[in-house]
Amino acid sequence: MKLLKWLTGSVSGLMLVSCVTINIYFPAAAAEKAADRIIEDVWGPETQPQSDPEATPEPQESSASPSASGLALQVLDWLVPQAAAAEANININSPAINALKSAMKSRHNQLEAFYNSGAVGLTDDGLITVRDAKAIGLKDRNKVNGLVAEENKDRKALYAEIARANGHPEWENDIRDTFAKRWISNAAKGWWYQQGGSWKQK
Amino acid sequence: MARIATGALVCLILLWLTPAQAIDKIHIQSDNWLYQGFAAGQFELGVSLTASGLQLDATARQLDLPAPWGQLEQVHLHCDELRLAAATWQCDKGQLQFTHPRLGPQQLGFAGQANADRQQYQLELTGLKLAQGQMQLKADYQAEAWTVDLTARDTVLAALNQWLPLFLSESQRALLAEWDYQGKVSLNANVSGRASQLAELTLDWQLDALSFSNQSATQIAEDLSVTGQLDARMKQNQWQWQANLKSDSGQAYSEPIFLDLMQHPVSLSGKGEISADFDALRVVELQFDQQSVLSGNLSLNWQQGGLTDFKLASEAIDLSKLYPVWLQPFALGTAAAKMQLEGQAAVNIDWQQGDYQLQLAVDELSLKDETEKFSLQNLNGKLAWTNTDNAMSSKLNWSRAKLYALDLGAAGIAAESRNNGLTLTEGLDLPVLDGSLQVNAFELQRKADGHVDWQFDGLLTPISMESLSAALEWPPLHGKLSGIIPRVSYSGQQLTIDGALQMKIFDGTTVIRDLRLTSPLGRLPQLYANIDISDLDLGLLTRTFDFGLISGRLEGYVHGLRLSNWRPVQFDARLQTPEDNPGKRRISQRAVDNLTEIGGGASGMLSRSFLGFFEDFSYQKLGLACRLQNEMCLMSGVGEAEQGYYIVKGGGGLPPWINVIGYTQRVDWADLIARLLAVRDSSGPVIE
Repeated sequence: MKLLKWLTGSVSGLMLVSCVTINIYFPAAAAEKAADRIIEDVWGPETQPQSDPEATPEPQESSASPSASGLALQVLDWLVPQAAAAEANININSPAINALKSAMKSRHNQLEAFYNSGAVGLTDDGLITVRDAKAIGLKDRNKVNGLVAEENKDRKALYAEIARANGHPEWENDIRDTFAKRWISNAAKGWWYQQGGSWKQK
Repeated sequence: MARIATGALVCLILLWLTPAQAIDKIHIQSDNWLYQGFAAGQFELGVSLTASGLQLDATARQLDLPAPWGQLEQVHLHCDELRLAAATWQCDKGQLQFTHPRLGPQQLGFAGQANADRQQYQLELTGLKLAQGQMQLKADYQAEAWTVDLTARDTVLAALNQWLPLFLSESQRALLAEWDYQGKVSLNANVSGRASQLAELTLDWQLDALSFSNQSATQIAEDLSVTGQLDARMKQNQWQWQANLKSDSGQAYSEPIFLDLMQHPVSLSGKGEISADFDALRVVELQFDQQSVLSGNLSLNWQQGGLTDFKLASEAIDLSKLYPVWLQPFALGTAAAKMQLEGQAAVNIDWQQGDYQLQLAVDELSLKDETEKFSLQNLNGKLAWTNTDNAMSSKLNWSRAKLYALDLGAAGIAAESRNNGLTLTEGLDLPVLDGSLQVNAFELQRKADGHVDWQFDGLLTPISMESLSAALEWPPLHGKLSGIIPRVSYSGQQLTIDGALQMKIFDGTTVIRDLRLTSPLGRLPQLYANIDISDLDLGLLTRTFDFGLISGRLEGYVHGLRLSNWRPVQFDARLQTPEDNPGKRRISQRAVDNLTEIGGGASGMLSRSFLGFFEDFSYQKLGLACRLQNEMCLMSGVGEAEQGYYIVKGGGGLPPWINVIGYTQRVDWADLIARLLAVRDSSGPVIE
């Protein structure tokens, strides 16, 4: 009886550890695919997604290390097949996300010329900014500032909403990082992007 | 310019006063002649007698002037008619030529007279070429008192660069080097003084085609025309000045403000004092006017590179004109970024060493968010704000307001501001639809990071569900919504409502608690709540929604509810008949059909079977649950059935009984909503 109690206690304890471990993986590959789909919708198909192995982040683990309990992992493998754990998906189909996407898409018609001229560039934190104010006529300055502010508001809302919609509000920063890389990766030739604090042109 | 003028004057007078005594013709030659700080190399002077007086010719290969004027080369001075009368030498028409490293080759006309005994000298120069423009100079010197008049036409600003070292320090020049500028200046200057002291200055200038920009292009102007006047007088080691400035063409941008000067000409005029070392500036009264946008006056004190105090008072400003120019650019990306404003406001700011008092008097202000999140009409009164200990009072009232779909009626506030905060001194009774929200102990605080927190204690007097459902475009509901709200607080973009709202609908009670709203006016407002439902009358409910009659009671919950942009995206909900208190439980044929459809089946089967003869059936229990996440609803009912779940479990009264079984466990949320809204296909209930 005591043995049984010990066994059930330990196994449930291990299962608890296992559950925590599986939940903290951010599905990076799925997030990238989701980001690419949204980017294609917003920017149109002419900016084709390009595979960029360097931009692909390794699956990240935010807290417990898998080596913390080898036994726990084995139990996990047994309880949850590896494939199931890897199949975590990022859902990007919700009315809120669709509304943000279509707002960004229609704004892109106005922003595109400024990406092309280098007036506006992509930042490395998944937003956009006025890069070269000189390329914008005085009269249009505040129009562009407004477009940039609205776009960034939508982008921040989008990252947060994707994380929330997928039941992990804490993924917001991971989603944002993924998008930051994918926006840059998908950017059209000639557009400017930030890397390590300096500007580069695609 | 005054220094150029005096330098040139002394030099020319000296050239011209070179002593000469001639009978017929005199020729003096010197390889190196020094005179009072001037050095002339290969100097030659010729004086000849003519019928009307003397003719003078002087040349020097180079003439060294005192610093910073540098060296003149190939100097040639000629006067056709030099006269001497009453100890005054006079030349009415002379020519002077020289080459200067900065001025280039010059060919000037000159006229002048000199009386060495009385220390009286006059000189007039014309045709001086400076920076592609023409200059004229008139100088008058009498016993140390001097006056210089300078006129310059179309002098190119960029070409003045080489002269800057004469006037600006190295650090000032470094600052200026960060700017690109071009344009032309024309000016009339009148400078007077005594010995080396300036005493009075009058300046009229006009800048044309002025364009400038700093390196980052945050301060920029294109094609400006600016005219200005300055009068300054030295008194007790202080300049007393009076100036005005006008611009009515071109465009300027000073981040984030854009000024179209053609559309809204700007003028400034003011007076004040500035210390001789330029360390202390006092602006007594500066009138500013941006045509049909903004006008008012400003006074300020500036000492040793810092502003010590200022007072600004505007006239009543038309907000529809002010907003796009002066307010909207600062509001980009916020909830106030897209507004339409009407009405007038006058602002008063008193700022002293960081302490300030701000007053805004508003007259018939109406504002409307273009994205239709909020509006306010006929706001009148006075709003005051201070970061000091001295309380300032505010009083405001409005006739109507709207927050999303909720109509808020006329109300007013009396408030007091101190230490960057605002407190309502009287309770506010804010009409909400046909009820009202009583706001007590309202306090607002602006934090050091610029964010604003506020909170109040509230009480919601009943709002009829008729008005609420109409406002929210729900199907018409009957009942009341009310609530005791111990605390409503807003902090870090999150609105938290403690306590609970209670809806009395369908003869039952629905309690909404743990209400939380993040970025309420933001791009994607998120509303979180837990809702508990008890003892609803199914009969009333099904009649209201024209669902097909079901009798009985209903209870349940919607827990973990999240609305994103006012649409449900997440919850764990269950609605079912209570375990106890069975009462009379009957379900109509139509309701069975509809529930079948919600469960994913087809409708109409029932009426086609022999059961179609029965109008309603007795049931034991019914219920439906949905766990919504990621646009997918995980459905369940009141019990497990084979391969599915019971939505309606027949039983209780007399047969025939009828079961409705749902087979689809995962239902697309949009599909479910579609099913709820419009009932189309059907496979019919499972009939046992």
